[in-house]
Amino acid sequence: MPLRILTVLMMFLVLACSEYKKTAIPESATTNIRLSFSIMHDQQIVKCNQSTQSLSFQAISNTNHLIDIESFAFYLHDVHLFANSTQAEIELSMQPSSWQTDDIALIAFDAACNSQASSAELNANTELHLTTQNEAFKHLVKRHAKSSDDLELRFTLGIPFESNHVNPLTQTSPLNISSMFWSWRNGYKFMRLDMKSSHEVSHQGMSLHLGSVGCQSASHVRAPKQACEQSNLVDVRIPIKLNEFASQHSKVTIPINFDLSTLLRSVPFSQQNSCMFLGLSQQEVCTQFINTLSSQPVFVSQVNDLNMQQGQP
Amino acid sequence: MECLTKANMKASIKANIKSSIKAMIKSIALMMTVLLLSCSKNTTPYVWNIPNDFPLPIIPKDNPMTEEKVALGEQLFFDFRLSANQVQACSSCHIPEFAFAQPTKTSVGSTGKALKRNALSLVNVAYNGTLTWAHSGLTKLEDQIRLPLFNEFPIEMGVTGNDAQILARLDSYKSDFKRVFGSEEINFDLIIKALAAYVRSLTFFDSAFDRYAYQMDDEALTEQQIQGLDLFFSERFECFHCHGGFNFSQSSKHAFQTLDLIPFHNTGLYSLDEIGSYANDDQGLGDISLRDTDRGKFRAPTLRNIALTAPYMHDGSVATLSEVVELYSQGGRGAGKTNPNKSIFVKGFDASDEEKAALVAFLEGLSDEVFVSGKFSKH
Repeated sequence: MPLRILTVLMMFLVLACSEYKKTAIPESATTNIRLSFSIMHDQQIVKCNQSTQSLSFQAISNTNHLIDIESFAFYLHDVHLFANSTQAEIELSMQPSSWQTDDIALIAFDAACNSQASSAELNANTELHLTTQNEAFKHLVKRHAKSSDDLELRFTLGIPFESNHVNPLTQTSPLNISSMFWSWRNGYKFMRLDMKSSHEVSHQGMSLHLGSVGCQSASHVRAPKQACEQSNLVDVRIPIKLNEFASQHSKVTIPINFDLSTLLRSVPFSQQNSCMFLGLSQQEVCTQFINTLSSQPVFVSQVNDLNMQQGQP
Repeated sequence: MECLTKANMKASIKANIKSSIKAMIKSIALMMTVLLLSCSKNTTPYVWNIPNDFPLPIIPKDNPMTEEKVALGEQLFFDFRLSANQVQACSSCHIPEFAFAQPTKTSVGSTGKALKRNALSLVNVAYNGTLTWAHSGLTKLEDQIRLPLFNEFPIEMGVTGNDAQILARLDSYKSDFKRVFGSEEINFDLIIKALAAYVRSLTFFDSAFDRYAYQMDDEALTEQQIQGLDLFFSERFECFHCHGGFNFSQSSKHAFQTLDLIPFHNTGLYSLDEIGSYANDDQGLGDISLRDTDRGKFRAPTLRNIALTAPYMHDGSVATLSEVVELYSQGGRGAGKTNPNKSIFVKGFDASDEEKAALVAFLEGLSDEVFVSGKFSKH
């Protein structure tokens, strides 16, 4: 008697399992979105210089020398995507990894040219990994060739207030990377861009560092409750045309360029134009730097009709 | 099987229960002992080198003081392996026999790059309202120590980007870290905590002045020094306004008084323009607050051991104590006398040469016995 019941039960189990198997290959509700960052200068993607092992570009100047990017990294958070026509938000989720939390991500080009970068150093991370469950977006992506819809990507450069005043040594990656510490200002560098000219005569260097300044603690055992005098968090908005990004099944790649030409047009390459918020003497350059980041199209989505190679150098 | 009667069974069950309870209690007791022993970090509470009636400094809850932590911090303080190129230790710029200051105008980093400022003495910094020469936002040693370690402009100890490389050298400390922090894992958060504990332990209150003022020893100061003492605390000289209190620095905090006294003063050292800019692109508090009215404002550090920490001021631009006294009697230096941000307490005073010498003599009486006796001269 028990044996019969067992057999029947087993049959149900097998049937149920096979049913489950059949229904387990539907289309995934999740779309993976990759924001792929590149550095652009003079309408070209900046590539690696084999001899200096760094990203280099030709300076637009009389002497026409090369400028090496010794370091370029930035944090961003609060990433949002909107469909222009409907003003509807396409809700995004950030996947935690060693380069991102569920809100903050670190994009870093530092070791982009070093094929032998050890895990102990700052490796390159030029992609932001997001997902969305948005059905409408999935369909939008499929129809992109025929669609005239535009999107707007928004994010904030930097680290949110609550996370910027903790002990960086006890945070998890990517908030424990020492080259992004801003110890003397008690916080993080939101962005660092260190460049060096390869000109034989004047090996000029120029650094642009961004972070919060004028921060006071309400109490000695609390992070500042009130905002800093200059939070220097920069809101970025990037218009994106749907027919500009690649899509493949449930994965979409949106290329974003950091246009150095736009930045250096207002803050030309020169040692004197370094901004590290060291003090009052750099206020003028720093204000110019922030204004440019805030109001000029420094972050742009890839323009289709130019001769560019996609992906990392 | 035994044939048990009812009574027998009851008795036997009772006996069984009793013995199993006993066994349980024994094993629980054993477990607890093992647990307690393994939980205890085997450390000794720190005994402060502070006179009985003096207040304790404020200790952060997440970094309690133990003898072993202080000893570990001391080892790290003198360890050259903490710098990336192993050329420098904390003690390179904070030299014990100079009251943990440095007899140079400004310091130089491990890669040879010059800093803008003079190394401050670390004696009694546990009581500091703020740290460094001019930073209203640095109130905790654990935050400040990150600077000389991780600074890049200029490079000091050069840890940034070399963290893993440096940590890999410190295996010999594993058992110390296990004892102090409960784990063999060594990281910079714990290194800084140990360093902070050591620096906090550098409390010294045994100068000639202390013996005169607090231990009522009338012979501890000379007549000349007593004359200087009276001038120091007078309204004519007004030194005590900024360099007052048990630590001879107005910017102090301790366990019984947590008011936020973090004053910074412009003492008229420079005035390069109409907004009172200071030289060397170093505007002091102005560079932190980004306010023009704060140009040239610096913290008044402790005057304890001041005779040992020449040269003076944030940039080491005043060579001797006599020159310091002369500067204050003039109400500033050169164009600095008319600096728009100059403190109202630096208005100058009339003083005879005898009086100026007496003041210097008094300041020399603020050196702690531990440095005067040469106990710190070798390390």
